[in-house]
Amino acid sequence: MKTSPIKKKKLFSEMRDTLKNILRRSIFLNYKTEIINHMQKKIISYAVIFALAFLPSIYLLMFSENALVFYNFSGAMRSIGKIFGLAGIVLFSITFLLNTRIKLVEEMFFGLDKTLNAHHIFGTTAFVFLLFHPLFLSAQFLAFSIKSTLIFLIPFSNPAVTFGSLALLSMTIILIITFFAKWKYQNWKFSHQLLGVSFILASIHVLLIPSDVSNDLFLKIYIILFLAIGLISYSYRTLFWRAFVKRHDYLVKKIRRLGEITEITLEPSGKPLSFKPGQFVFVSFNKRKMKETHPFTISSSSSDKTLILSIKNLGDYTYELKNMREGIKVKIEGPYGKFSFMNSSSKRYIFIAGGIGITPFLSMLRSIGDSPESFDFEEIALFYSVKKKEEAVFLDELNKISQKNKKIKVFLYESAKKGHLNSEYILENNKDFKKAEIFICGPASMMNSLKEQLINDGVNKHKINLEEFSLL
Amino acid sequence: MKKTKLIFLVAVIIALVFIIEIFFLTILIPEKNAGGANSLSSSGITDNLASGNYASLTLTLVEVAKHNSLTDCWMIIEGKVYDVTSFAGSHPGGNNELVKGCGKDATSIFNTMDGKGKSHSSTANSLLSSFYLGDLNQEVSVSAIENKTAELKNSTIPNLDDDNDDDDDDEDDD
Repeated sequence: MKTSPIKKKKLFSEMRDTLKNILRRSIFLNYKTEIINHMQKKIISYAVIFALAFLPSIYLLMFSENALVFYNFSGAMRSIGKIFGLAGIVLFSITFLLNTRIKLVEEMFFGLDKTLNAHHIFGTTAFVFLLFHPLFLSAQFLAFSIKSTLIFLIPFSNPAVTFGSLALLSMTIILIITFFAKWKYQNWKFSHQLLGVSFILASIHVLLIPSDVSNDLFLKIYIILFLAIGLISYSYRTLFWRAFVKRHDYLVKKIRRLGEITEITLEPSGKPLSFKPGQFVFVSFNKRKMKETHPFTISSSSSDKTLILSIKNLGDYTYELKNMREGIKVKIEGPYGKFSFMNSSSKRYIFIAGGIGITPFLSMLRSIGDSPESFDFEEIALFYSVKKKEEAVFLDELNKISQKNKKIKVFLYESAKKGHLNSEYILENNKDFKKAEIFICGPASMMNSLKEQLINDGVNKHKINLEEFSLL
Repeated sequence: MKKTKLIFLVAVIIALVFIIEIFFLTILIPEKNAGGANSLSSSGITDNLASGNYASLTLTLVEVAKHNSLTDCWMIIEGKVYDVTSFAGSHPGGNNELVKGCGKDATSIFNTMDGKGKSHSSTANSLLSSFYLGDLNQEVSVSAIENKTAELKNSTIPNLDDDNDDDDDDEDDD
């Protein structure tokens, strides 16, 4: 009876070793070309998280005789149910960690937007695993008695099961709201935050239910560790963030209206925030109807102590900008974002801005303008695309910077006259485009379309950086 | 639709379909193994007498003790006799625990999980009734028993790895 599992063990470890060798070789090759930065980091982070999720199951496969058996139908169903439960709760916990916005976590995926993507993916995966956990466990009885299968699914048959059922039920309802309800942002956000309660209910279920976890010391410690990580993350970012999250104090110093855009200059009350040009911050104004936290790109030079935010009037929130006054207190969290030419070792850059997408490049060019000796590059070509010239409110300032620095070229592009900006226009103005690092910031459709076109024209996709404004 | 939204929706729909299916199957399929004193004893004997089959046996402790291994496992729980042979390999607590009750009165072993002070769940109790043969010391017809045990053996979905483990089972448990 024990020969089969031992063969399986050997096969497993052989497969594992082969995979590791392949990975090592490919990472080594890529490291030489420096692509290891973003892509590999992201892939490794995803792999590590999945490995952590399935570690308890692998542990059981290797060290427990009875826990995971696949030689008959009911054993297989029961085992799959257990694996889903174990992986699900670990992923659920990590999902909270990915939402904390701490710098370490942002590094794992090379950018806050990508970290939030990971939060979505792992959150959904955790839910699916946890949903199928009781279903597979009940399916183990299908071989004998349909009635028993149903009885197993009774939600409130005992305290431990009750907590599990409540957790799953609340998760389902909350996620339906998250995905499908068209509520006002604050209400939607609050409902989503209630997932912390689901997590607590699930944790109690895990602690009460007799299982492989409750019977094994290593697993108990492992799972409790993740329960703690999830709870601490939730407390830090959602429950007690006002106390825990570090924010800088600023005051509104000046307000400038430039057509559809409002430029707000902020002065630090305490310690100023230091950032790389191209980064963004989360801002909360101590003003009625503007207290909710919003992300904005910093458009000022990194050598200034003051921060400038250039905001386009778009919706409910930005509508309130017309009532912005000097002296209003502001709280700022950050900086975040990897959308900066300072993260690249390239010497040639192509910047493409669509409308208000000019903001990160404003910061980059203003920073170079203020202290050119701090930045090492050969050439920057900035394409400023707007519908009509009047909308390009920063054109004069950018032209002045370009006149003072021969390495910077600024191109205005009016899409009303020439149609949407396309890769042809960009490449005909850049002979050496294949060596350049490309940064694009603007409406999502524009960014994605341009990226596709550039790739079709022979640009390496790893050299194209997009700034994802929409963080939802 | 965003990928995660789609996956969520599909998962919820699959889960609902599963639960509803199980619910309706439970209602629609009369439980073959419903148990109860009638199914095997009196009607069984009458039928068999009618067809000329007179052999009968009494489900005594001695009789049950003959079936005391994993490959032929009867046990008595609270005055009822069960053939749990087909459950070998599917017992969540493992075969080592299951075999402790074979061939004897396993009431206290079952009710306390062999001294651990825990009782079996309602699912387990419901499942148990599907293995029912008859009451302790009840007279039943031999062919009815044979039919029932054959039925139980066939009702389990065949093992996925039939060649490997069941044969080994025999060797180990001697």
